[in-house]
Amino acid sequence: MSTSTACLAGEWTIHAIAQHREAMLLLVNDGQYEFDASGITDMDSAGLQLLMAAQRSIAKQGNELRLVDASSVVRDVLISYGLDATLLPVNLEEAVS
Amino acid sequence: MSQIDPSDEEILAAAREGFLDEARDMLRQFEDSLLALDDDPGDSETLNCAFRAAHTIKGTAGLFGCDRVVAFTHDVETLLEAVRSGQYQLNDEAMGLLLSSRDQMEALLGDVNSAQGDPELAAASKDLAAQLRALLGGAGHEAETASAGAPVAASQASTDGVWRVWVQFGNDALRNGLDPLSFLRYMGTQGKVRKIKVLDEHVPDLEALNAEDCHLGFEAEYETTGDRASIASVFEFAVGDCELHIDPLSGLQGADTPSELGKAVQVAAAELIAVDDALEEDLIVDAQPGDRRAAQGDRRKASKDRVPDETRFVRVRADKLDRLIDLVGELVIASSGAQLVAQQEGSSTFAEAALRIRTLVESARDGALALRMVPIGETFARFHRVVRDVSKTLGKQVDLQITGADTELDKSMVEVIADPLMHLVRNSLDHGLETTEERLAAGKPERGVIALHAYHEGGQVMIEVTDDGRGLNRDRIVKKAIERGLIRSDQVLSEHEIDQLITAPGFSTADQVTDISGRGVGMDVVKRSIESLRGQMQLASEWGRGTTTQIRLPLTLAIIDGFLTSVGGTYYVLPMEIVSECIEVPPECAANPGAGVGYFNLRGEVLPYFDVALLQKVTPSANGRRSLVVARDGNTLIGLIVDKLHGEYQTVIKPLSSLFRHLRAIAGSTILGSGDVALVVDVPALVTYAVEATRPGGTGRTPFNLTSTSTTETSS
Repeated sequence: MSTSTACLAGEWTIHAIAQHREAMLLLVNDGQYEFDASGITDMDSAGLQLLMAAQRSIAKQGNELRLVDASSVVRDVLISYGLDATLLPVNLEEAVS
Repeated sequence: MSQIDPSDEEILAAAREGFLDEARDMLRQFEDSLLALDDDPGDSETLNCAFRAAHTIKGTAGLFGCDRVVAFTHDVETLLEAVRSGQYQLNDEAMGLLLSSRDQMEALLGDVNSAQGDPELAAASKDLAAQLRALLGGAGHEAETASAGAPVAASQASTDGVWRVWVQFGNDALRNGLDPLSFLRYMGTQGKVRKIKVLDEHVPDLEALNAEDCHLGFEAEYETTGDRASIASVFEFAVGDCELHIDPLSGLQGADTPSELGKAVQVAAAELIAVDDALEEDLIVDAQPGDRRAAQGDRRKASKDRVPDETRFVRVRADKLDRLIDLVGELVIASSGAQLVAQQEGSSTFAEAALRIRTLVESARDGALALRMVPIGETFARFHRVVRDVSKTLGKQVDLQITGADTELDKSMVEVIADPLMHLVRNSLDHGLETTEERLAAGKPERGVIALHAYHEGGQVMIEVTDDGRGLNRDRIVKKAIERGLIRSDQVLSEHEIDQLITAPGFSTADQVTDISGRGVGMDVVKRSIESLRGQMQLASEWGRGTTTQIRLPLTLAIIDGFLTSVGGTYYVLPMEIVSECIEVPPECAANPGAGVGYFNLRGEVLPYFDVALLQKVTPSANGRRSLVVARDGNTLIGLIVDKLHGEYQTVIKPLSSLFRHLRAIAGSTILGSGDVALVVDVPALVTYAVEATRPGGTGRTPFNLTSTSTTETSS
């Protein structure tokens, strides 16, 4: 199981998302669950959806997806959808804690 | 959208097109119902139908942000609702207003693409809406409808409302360039997203994910000054790609103002009405036990009628259909070819197989052709309105009778034929039918009759427009024709020929030009458009009894049962329907082979004949016995002399290229199984020619070029 942080980069939009899925699939199957998203230059809902899918796969392995860093575009998307760095709803977390 | 890229605009335009299409259907349904109500004001089912149509138009128009249509249709709906609930009794005035409203709705729908809207149209809307409201009377009504009629304006003045917006996007949303995120951001510019929850339960894990599919959605608590429609308009690009629910959060902050509550109630009421409508369609819900049984009967009948109406049509591109028909045409030819080979080979099993294929291909062909055929009834039906309106304007009482509405003809023809027919009907209304006083004085029934009649005859479609009016005044026609220099003053014309004169260019018998049938330039235009369809138009009239205009149209694309003949190596196909009989060349023709035209005696009847060989300037085959085909066009019989008869032959008519368009005696061409080209003979044109050519002293040219110069061209 890898404990290092994998760097995510490039355009995480619908146009390139299929490639990113392939890459993510390899990383996640390798046991990767910590990611540095500061290299992502663009992101749309397809990008977010890919992270969510990765989160599900990682959860199946008993881990929790974590973004250790994120670029401003990624933050924007997460904020718009009301999510935090673990892709969980911000307000829901508040309610739980 | 803060930025609309072209694809979004395209998507919206396509969706709009669909909406307008549907709205047009609804308008037609609305009009049909109104006209039916005109005859039977007590029919509740028809009234409901009209109401539903208006309601649907309003609903879909709202979805597309066509506020002008929504506001106006609302008033129409209010009036209909009042009628439905028995508060208001339908009368002539209301009916007239409702019909004008239909036209106004159509005009508004036509104007939806302009941003500001036509100011004249807006004024007309206001005017009509005021009249509609005035019918219901009472200032209270007016105030109520005014506020509801402009929901956008009203709600913009109100305080911010809080809504629950729930959207789940469809699988293809991302691929279609619809990013949930951009909708979310746009919502942020129009109001405040107070809470957001991403709907991610459909997102699969990485293994199962097709990254380009969209599994996302969101649920938001949204604070905005807009109303439901304006929130919905945020998602108007995504209509087909998302499931949208907008609910007012009336228990929460912002919703406790009276107007907001009122709006919530209004929305709930609208939903109730919608549910109610849906129920009415499926179930029998009736408050009055008294008319329950009657209503039951009506509805059952109506729903039986209605269900197939919804499933009856599939929209298909016309060119796809044409390609299919073309292909099937080729198949027919190929299968004839196969049969020919089978015969030559003398193989009975092959012949059997070829025959089987042919039968199947023929069924396929019939099916394919039927696809393009539409009943003419739809075109006829619109004349109900015309007759109603025009007769009211002219103060005449007119009944419209329609027969043969299910007669089918080619779709492209139906479209072209509508305008000429309209002109003929208006002509009959205006010039043909007398006023009520004149009719009574002439001892005729008070109500005039205009009849539209369609039927198939001899492989052609016949459409007749008949009125029982005053008929054509031949003396006046002749006088006018001489005045206009259309004929010479010493020319002797048959009654039939005089009747046709009114279709000559620039001819009008109406001393007084009215706005109903134009300025007398009509009949020749009508005739021209009929002829552009390779059809013919004839008038028959009896003074004091009425006029009949007969339009004869070919089934252009039709594959006809033909009779194959040959003359000097060229194949000619005569439509089977016109072949009356085949006889040996009678001695009186054989006696004078060089003449080409003349008369022969058929069982005591003297008939004109002509030799196709001479007509087409080919040498008749020297050997073998020639034959005479007796062909019929309407009531006229003529003889056509040909070299050889080859028997029955089914053929696909292919139109001649534009190079040969002026050849009027040839309707088209076809390819035989052997690969030879055969010409399809346009018999009515030939008959006209034969009658003219054999007339004593006739030159083959009609006195005033009624049948166009084509008859001479064919002989040259």
